[in-house]
Amino acid sequence: MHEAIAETADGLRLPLVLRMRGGLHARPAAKLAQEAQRFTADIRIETENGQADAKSMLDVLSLALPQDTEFTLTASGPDARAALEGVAACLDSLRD
Amino acid sequence: MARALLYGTAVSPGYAIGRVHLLHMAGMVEKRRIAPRQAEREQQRLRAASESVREALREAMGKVPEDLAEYREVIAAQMELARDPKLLESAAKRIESDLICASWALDETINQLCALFDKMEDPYLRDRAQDIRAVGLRLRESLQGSRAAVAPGEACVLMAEDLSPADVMDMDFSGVQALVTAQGGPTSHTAILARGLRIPALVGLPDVLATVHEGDSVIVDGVGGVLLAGPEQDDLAQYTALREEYTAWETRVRAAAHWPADTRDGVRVSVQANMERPEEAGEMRESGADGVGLYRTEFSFLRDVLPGERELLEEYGAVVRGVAPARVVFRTLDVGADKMMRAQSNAKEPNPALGLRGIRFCLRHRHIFRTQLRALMRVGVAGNVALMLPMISTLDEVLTVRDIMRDLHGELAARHIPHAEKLPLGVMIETPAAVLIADALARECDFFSIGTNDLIHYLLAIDRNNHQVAYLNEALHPAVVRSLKRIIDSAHREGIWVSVCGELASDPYGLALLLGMGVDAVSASPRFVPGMKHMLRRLDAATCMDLAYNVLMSADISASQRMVRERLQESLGSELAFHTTSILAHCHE
Repeated sequence: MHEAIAETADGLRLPLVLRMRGGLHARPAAKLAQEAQRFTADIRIETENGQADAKSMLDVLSLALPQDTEFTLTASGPDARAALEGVAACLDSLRD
Repeated sequence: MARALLYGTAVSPGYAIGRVHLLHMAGMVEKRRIAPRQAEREQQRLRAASESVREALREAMGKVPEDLAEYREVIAAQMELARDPKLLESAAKRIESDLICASWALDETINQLCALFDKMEDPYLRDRAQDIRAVGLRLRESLQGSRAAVAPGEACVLMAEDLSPADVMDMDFSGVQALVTAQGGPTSHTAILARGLRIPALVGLPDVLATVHEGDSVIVDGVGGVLLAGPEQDDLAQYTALREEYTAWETRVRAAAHWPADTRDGVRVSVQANMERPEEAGEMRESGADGVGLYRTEFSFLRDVLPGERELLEEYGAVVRGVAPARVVFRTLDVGADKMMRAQSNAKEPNPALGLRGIRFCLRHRHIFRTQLRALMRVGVAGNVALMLPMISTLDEVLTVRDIMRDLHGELAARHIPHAEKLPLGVMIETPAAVLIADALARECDFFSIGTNDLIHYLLAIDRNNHQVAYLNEALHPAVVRSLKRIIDSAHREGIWVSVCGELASDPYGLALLLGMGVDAVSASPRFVPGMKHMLRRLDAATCMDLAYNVLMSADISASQRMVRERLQESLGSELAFHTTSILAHCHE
């Protein structure tokens, strides 16, 4: 899946689809924030309706992402690639 | 303070007399302006508070018992919230820009975030505002150093706006005599905790924190649902005596809960528990219940997304294993379009109680029903399982379900999936139609279960949400009494058993009457089980049969009430008051 990571001037981008029943709820949002905080890179979730800091559970929750939403994970900073892979793997482990 | 009575919902029985201790010093946000040079220090304090709250939550997490995974998730989410960059950064910015102290800035930030979540469309996300407030409160307490933890052995009546799982986990409750919360209902954390601790609890007293203050003397009546503030000498004397009597009674009752309930003349009635979550199996076993007479399966369906077969199988399997070797009676999905998840909510009905609910809904939405039945048939090989169908009004409904199960058997057998081909199948008798065709239904079913709450509403034509007609909700109405008798007799004529799983079963008046009519089993919330068993042992089936006969002959409700009361007073004496509040004593809903 990580071949899909695109490099742009603003950092790395990875388009994904949310595969979670009922959307991104508190438990997965907490896990996601926890994972994101391991990295120094700035990690964001971008959707049509806005973007959120992946390290903030509140910010992620306030996007109110429903199931099957298409979004883009972006990362910029020294460990951007590892961050993107780590967070994507974390999201993947939370899917059902 | 002046004597005052506050009425709430009693969620755990008992009496307590003590002094109030407030869990949170609510409403006291420190509001201090600061000089620009102090901003950095306030931000530093905020970070330190975040760390110490996370530490306290981590400690609370370590105390969560194995079977409370749900608590662990709530606390894990709160730990994440306590260090949330958005929360902390907005508050830190506010300190600098508005030149206010950390508590004040935090409070403003929390309010703003809660307002954001309160506006959300998704009810689940809307509820997250509670978590944000709970974390905000902890951060504030850490900043202001005002967290007044209950010291071990310190006797008090603990009062709070509400209790969250983390509050429950990181406190020492050894000295707590009673719990009182402004919010919450019978399923709140407060209720679960209090029952576990076997202390009285009242919830849903919205004005309590405005009326009662730290250190006030109060009496908590967890039997009658009353908080008595500023009691006088007479009150204290009366309640001290009641408390002693109650404690002695409760000890005796609990000691015998695991023994069968045989009446004085040797008639055994199976006393079972109602459940709706697998986690309740522990409470059920502890209650001494002889099985589960009603497992409500709605819980996992009242979300935005339908549960899958695997998910259901897991849930049902956990219930069956937790209750084994005793039997679990699963009631198939009993929802109306009004309660159903979003996917179905386009079907708005003007009168949902008379609409597409229970078996009607299931037969219309076959894919949902088949998934559930498959899971139930598969779990049938794992233990002692029976099925019952809610809201039956025609014989055809039962026959259709049998057809579907035959079809599913073929399907599962072809895929070599282990399952029970035949499971005991019963119906809920809760519509007047079902009462009148009880003889025909009895020939097609393996058992009956009487849902007395709905049966009374439908028989007496009362809308349960309409307070204007609540006075008609009368379990001793001749129409109700005669229906009960007719149902039980029809079942026994075909050699099948009858259980009662409505509120009437845990009501002492109802229980005596049902015993007199020959009911085989009763099922109620686990907390009522020891009391029900104890009461049955004190009663005499032959005398109750006499009583039932007299009540059946009576067309006068108040005469019937008098007859039952007199009989119970004769058998139970003063301990009658310790049983659940009676349907006859109060107007319900």
